[in-house]
Amino acid sequence: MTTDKAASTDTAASTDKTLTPDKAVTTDKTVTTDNAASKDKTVTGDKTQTGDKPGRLDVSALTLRFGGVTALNEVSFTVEPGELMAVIGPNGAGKTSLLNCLTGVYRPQTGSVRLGAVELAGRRGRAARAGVARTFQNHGLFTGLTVLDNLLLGRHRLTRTGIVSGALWWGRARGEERAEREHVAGIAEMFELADVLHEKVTALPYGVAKRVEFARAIAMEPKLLLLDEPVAGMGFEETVAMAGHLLDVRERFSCSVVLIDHDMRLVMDLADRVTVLDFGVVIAAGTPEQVRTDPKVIEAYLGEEE
Amino acid sequence: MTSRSPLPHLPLSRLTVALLAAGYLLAPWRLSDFWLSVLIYGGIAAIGAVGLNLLTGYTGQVSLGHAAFLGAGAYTAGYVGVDLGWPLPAWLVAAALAGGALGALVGPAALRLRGHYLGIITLGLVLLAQHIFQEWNALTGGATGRPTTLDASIAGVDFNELTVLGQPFTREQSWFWLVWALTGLAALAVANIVRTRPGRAMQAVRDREVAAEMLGVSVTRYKIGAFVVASALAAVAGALQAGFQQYVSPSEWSLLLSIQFLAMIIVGGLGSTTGAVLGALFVGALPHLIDELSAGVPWLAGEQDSLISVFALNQIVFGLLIVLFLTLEPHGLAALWVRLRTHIARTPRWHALTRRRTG
Repeated sequence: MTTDKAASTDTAASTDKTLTPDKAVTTDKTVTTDNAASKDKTVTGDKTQTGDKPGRLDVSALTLRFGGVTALNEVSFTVEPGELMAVIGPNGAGKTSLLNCLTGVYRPQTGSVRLGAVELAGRRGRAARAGVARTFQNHGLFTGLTVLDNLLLGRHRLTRTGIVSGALWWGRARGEERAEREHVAGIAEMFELADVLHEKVTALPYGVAKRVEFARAIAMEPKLLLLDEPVAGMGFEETVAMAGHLLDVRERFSCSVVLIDHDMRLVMDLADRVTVLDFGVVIAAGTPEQVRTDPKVIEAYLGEEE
Repeated sequence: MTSRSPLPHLPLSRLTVALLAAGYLLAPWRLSDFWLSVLIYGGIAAIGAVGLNLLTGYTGQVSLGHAAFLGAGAYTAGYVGVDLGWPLPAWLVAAALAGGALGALVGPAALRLRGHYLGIITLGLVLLAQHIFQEWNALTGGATGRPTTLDASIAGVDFNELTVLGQPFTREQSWFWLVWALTGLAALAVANIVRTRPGRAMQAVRDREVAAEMLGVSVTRYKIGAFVVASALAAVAGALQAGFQQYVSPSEWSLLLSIQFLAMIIVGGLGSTTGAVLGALFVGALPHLIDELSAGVPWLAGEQDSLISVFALNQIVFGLLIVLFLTLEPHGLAALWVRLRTHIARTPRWHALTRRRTG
């Protein structure tokens, strides 16, 4: 099953291959031209075509320090609309710090994170408005609430009922509540969560909770999906199921994905491109095949597995 | 989905609602004025408690400042209902607006501080408010207090001298109906907030602030919103207390009152509107129960050779109750209530009666 789907993503990856070989160069260009590209259309170079794409994630020269520790050092990469970019690296390489920068939780000292024309770096709350959904390493579910309520919170940005309307249970509140409940019931169906819809999330097994969080992110109808170790700690079958959901989501919603994970097989099977971080520095980037054979990557990371 | 009601329902079955409605209508005929006044104070406290529960239980913001908002509501009502002589709707709305506005001023503190620090800041608020209440003679009558015989009439019906079809009712009887109608509305409003989008957002802020932000929940809006609703309800409670007592003095709005409100929502069960009402009734009625029961106990009453005063005994019982509930039943009276209901529902004879909408 996985090999089938892997084959289909491989073909998707091959269409992108033209972009990948001189990765370091193209990202450098992005830094300088993208600002101008949105305003000034006379900019030359092959970047103008993609520079205007609304769903493109452009991370450039991101540097994040905690005191004397540099968590991220001049990290740059781009994710084209609909593309799945995997970020891998050993523990402490800065993968989660990177996600925190992309969502405004951490404020990087330098660099920028742009989704289309929107700057996300250092601005909490803007990511959600720009259409970014995210999952957390040890799931970011609201433990006091049911699966249904968690999914409904995924719809928060897309709904309007305020405190007064809610208190009166009048006007918008009633209709919106009814419509949204039906909507998320459909999402729950898709992720095989219909049976646990009314359970508190604390009562769920770890793997199911991970799936709830994934479903909640999808409920946001994101343009960009950030997944922080979605299969960490899962068994083989759960991992396969999660990969299936991920493929399903890409097919239906055509959102871009940044996937962080340790599961090398998952990453190599699903990703269009891979960026490898080590001690906060991008040491390699390219297609899964290119990265797999990169000596620096083998030394830093993959070597452990052989 | 067919087996479940698509809309969130309130945590009360139809039978419970019917029983509560019957109790509401009949209690004034059955109970003495003394017990009615106990229930009136309980109902007033419940309005404040469901508000504090929205703030602390559902939004996770600890506040020791509740007494200040009750006081603000009491004096606002005193000004509007006595000094200006406006009727009941005017001073209720004025108190709610004043409380809400003060809540909007204090709320931003919750954006910078959390947990104990927010508690300390709101504690400072109580001390500050008490000082203002003692010094602002024109409004509050200074340390000795002021009369607050509010005009309790709405659309020609005066709850201070209620007469229906020629039959006069006592003040306790009529205020019971007034207060518990408002208590019902306040509890319903808070329960409605909790089961819709804003309430879910508040609970998200309570459980995981960063994750909530990632979903586009504005932490600022819901923290301040919860403060505004909580303090508006506290002010309404204060206004009703002033109206029923007909006199208020600054010493009432003390830190002790704030702690009593925390006790209500802890004993009732944090994050349960039903629990907040039960907790308010329990904590509100307790001193009177102890009063009643202690009349025959020799070492207790207010005599010279008594071992302990009734007031002191009350404090001890409060402290014990909070400790016991926090350690033994963290979900409070609400959890006990649910357990009792489940037990009844499992008893075959009662099953048919208590069965809720198929769920």
